[in-house]
Parts: sequence; structure tokens; C-alpha cells
Amino acid sequence: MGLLEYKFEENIILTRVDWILNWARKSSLWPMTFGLACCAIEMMATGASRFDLDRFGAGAFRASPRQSDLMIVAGTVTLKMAPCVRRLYDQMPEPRYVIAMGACTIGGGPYALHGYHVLKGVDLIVPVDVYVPGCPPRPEALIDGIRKLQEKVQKQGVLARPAKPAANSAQHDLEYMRMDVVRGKWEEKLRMGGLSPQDEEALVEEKKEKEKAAAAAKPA
Amino acid sequence: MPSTLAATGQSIAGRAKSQFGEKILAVEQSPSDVVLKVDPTVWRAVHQFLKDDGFDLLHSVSAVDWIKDGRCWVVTHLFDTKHLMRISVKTEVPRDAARVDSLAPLWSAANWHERECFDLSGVTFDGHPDLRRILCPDDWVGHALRKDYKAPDHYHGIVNNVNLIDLDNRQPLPDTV
Repeated sequence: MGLLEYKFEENIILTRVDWILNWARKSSLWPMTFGLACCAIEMMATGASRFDLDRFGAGAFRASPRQSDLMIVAGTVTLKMAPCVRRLYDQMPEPRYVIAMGACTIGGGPYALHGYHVLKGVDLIVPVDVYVPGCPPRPEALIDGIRKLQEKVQKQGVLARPAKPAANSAQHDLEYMRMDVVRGKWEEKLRMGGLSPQDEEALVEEKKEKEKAAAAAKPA
Repeated sequence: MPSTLAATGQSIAGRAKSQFGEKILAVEQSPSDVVLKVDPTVWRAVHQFLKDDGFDLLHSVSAVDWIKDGRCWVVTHLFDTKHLMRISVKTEVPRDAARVDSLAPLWSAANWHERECFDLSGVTFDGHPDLRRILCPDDWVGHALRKDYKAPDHYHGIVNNVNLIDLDNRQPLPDTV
């Protein structure tokens, strides 16, 4: 900035597009009102006056996934509930983030070995950005998890994602590994710099085939 | 809450015995409860008798799986809200054909209790208006509280056995769940 400093009016700030967009994004995370079990009580406490999640710009709990950026999966996810969790995640607009709150959500918790109907980790059905351990985690822990997520949002690239560190290297960050594994192929290509014309053709063909199949399946 | 008074609990048990005769197999007395052990054929009749006698509240319907004997108990707990008395009724059915009459016509509370008992213990209740699973998903296989139950390794393509999850080599997410 040195060369450009003091060359413009005083209320102009120079920064990168990435930085300013990520700053806006991380400062206004809207979580979804969505609690499954006892962890939800701690999540409510986090949002209430004593811990005041709004200090970190993440206190606007929305009643609809379509208005939310952040899903805090708070509580035991049963196999019966799993499709609903996934549907809520699918209904959220991009960019969307997931915090797995509590032992059950991270890996089944006390139900991991002998629970017959508990999902053994919500990362089996949705990509998780931040894991907050605890049974249940205290509100401070959840706040810490949200601040970790904000750090992550601040680091992400808006136009292209940061290069992946070499596998098993010291920087081999778990969160990037998970992001790569879980994203669908089209989403991946969009993130890596857009679709090629061949890709677009294939996408159109795929869509046409799907429509054909749907029309054929429809009863006359 | 006072526990069942031994004298009154015994007296209703005695009257039931005189009413149903051999169909009342045993009257067991525990420190807090009187247990009527009845034949499955008079399951509903005994409950009707007890309800008419003042046991107006159905606390629970549950089942016990005795896998070694090949038997299964169905147990109800009743309560008399006026005289504050408790009584339990128990019947024994074969494990493979666990089947008793529904109590839903007597207490509407029995409706969901029996659905739960059916869902988890696999007891069929004859005459139940809507005997569906209540806790597990509709397409669940097996009854989870049976002693020989084995949880499925996969459910709708999701791994359900924690030993099958390779943390170093995660599977991609399913397209639909």
C-alpha cells in the first residue's frame, strides 16, 4: 500500500476483494434455528443474554434454511432424522457452513458402539466445517467454534480456493481434506474456475436425460 | 406417593382370582407392588375388571424378552388415582408368536404405548386400531430391544457400524439420504 497511501481521499480504504467479501460474510453469519437434543439447550444459552452470540455477528437465528448461512447441528442425529438434516442442508443457499456440536454429532458419542439407530457422525451426510467437542459443549466452546469458523471464512478465496497443501504435510488441514471429499463434482469445477464448454454440454445432456426419464416415469 | 397398600392390593387380587379362577396363574407380592400373573386369553378381560374396580390410569405397557426360555412377558402397570394404589399385570407368551389383545379400547393411552412395545419388542396387539412403528423409521427391520437383535451395518446407504468407518479414507457423501 505504501505507494498508493495518501493518494486518494481520506475515506477510501484499499484492500482485496477477497478480504472485504469474507469480512462481510464472517461478520454476519446467520445460524439456523435448529436443535435436536440437549446440545440445543447450550446453543440457546449461547444465543441468550449471558453469552450473547450477537457480539460475534452470529446471533440472528433464522427460522428458515433459505435465509441461513450456518447450520449448527446441535444434538443426537438419529437415522430417522438424517434425511431431514440433509434436506435442510440442501435448502440452504451457498456459501453455507456446518458446525458439528457435541459428541453425538461428531461421531455418535455414547451411542457410537451400541446405538442401533444413531447416525455415527453427521459428517456422513453433510460436510462439516468445524467440530465442537463436548457432551454437551459449554457455550464458550460453541462461541470458540464459531470464531474458528469465522477465521476459516476469512481465509477462503472468493474466486478460487486456496491451493491444497500436500497430503500428509504439516499444513494438511483436516478442514480442506473434508471439503474436497464432500463436494460434488460440478460444485468442485465451479469453484476451481468455472465450467469448460465440454462440461456445460455434458451438464445440458445430463439434464435433458433426467427430464426424459422423469417424463417416462410419470404415469399417463 | 404411598406405595400399594398390601391389604387392599391383595383384596383386589383376591377378587380377580375368584372372578377368573384358574386363568389367574399367580399373585406375586413385592414390597411396592402386587403383580397379577394371568393367562394371555383373559388379558383384556382382567384389565376391564381392574378398570371397573377403580384402576383408571394406565402407566405403561412394556415387554421383557427371556430369550433362553423362548418366552416373552408383556407387563402393564395400573394406578388407582382415587385410592392411590398400584397393581401390575403380567402375562407370558411365546417369543416367536408374541401376541396379546390390545388395551386401546379401554385406555386411549395404550395406543402409543402398544405401538412402542410393538416397535421395540415385537409384540403384536390384536385389535389395535393403528399398529405402526412409532420410534424407528417405518422401513426399519427387526425389533431393537429383542435380545438377539443385531443393528444393521448400513441404513439407506449410510454406514451404521462405527467399525466400518475408515477415518483416513472417508467415503464421499451420498447424493441423497
